[in-house]
Amino acid sequence: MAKQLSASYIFDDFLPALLAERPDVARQIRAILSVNIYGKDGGKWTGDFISEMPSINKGIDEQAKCTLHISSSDFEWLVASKTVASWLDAFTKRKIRVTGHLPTALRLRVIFEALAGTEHR
Amino acid sequence: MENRHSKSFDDKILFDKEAISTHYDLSPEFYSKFLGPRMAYSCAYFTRNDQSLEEAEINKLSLLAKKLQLKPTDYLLDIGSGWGSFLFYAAENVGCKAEGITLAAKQEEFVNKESRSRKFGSLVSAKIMHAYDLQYKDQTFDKIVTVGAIEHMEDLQVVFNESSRILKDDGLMLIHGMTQPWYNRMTKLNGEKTEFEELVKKHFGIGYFKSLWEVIQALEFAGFEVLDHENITRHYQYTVEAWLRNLEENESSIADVLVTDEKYREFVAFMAAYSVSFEMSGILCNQILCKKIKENEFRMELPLTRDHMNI
Repeated sequence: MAKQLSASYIFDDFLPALLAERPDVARQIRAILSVNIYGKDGGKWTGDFISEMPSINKGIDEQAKCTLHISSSDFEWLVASKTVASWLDAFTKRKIRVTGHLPTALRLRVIFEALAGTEHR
Repeated sequence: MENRHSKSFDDKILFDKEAISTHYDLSPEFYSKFLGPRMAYSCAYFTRNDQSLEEAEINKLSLLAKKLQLKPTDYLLDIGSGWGSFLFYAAENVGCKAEGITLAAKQEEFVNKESRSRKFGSLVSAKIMHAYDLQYKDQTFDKIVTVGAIEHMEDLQVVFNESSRILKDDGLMLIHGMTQPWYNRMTKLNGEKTEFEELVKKHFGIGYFKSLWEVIQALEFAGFEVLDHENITRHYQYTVEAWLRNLEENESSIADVLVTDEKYREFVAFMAAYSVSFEMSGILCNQILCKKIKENEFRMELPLTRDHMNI
């Protein structure tokens, strides 16, 4: 069974390390995006994938091109599922809500592909 | 490809018909909530970044007519004519006879009803017919167009062979459709299935993205030469973004009213995914103008420049 990765592990540990190691990830997103992961072990983060030094910061940025809202349990399950079909299913069932420009949210796919291709301790 | 009237060929046609119907036989009212006023369910053509979908739709139809050098005396066939946007444009603006074929019963019904109510008489009509089995005599049409349909055709060679047979020797054919860049297509040809492509097939009923060279190879094998190619990928990105905005703005009158909420969300997700795919060169869109070519025959007179294609 796939390991469940928490939102805080992904946004506080994994992503900053990934951005430092692979600047191409930020170039493939090229936007400021926020995530609102609610429920147990959730949190709010904003990824700045535009600046010369891409970063992940706590909180929602009102200037973000889009904000993704999802419960922590659904988020963890989706990350573990590693399939596009699961994300689509969650979106059609309104488990994911996106405010702002939806296509930009889809660019986050590069992060979840990197997550799927990494061994996590 | 099997014999035209073998059981497996008939089964294939039936499969395509059923598959296409799952997507295109949703109510025209639903599509009218997000497409432009002319109900063109394919890439529009933007001459400015801030242009409206309505203007871009007309630009596209005008561009098709210009590239085909459509004349009032022409007999036009539109393969995969949808809700007839180009059929009506051609009849209304050029005055030529325009016939469309589709596999979706609701689209056929829509076009013929519109033609009657707008008093086009026999000038505009649509039929249910498969592109593999074009039931027309040799050299029937002056012009053939196919817009946003090659993505649904597994065997382009059969379609282009048939098109070559029913197109007059001095006729023109215009292919407008999506292709995959080679790096994606190669993955598929190596036997790897991409999850996105499988989801596209599920959503649209059917979907085959070829590489541009495969489309051109099939055209050349069918006896065509390419006169002009234009990459219109950016135009399709702007088009799906406009459709997406319309879907989002009209959510309350679509979701659980015209289609289920899940179907509505599925369309929203696919429009967003297509936008990203065009933006990131995952899928491309092209217009390919061609004519039949024969050895030892004088070339037909054609404009020396692309000026006549300008919008």
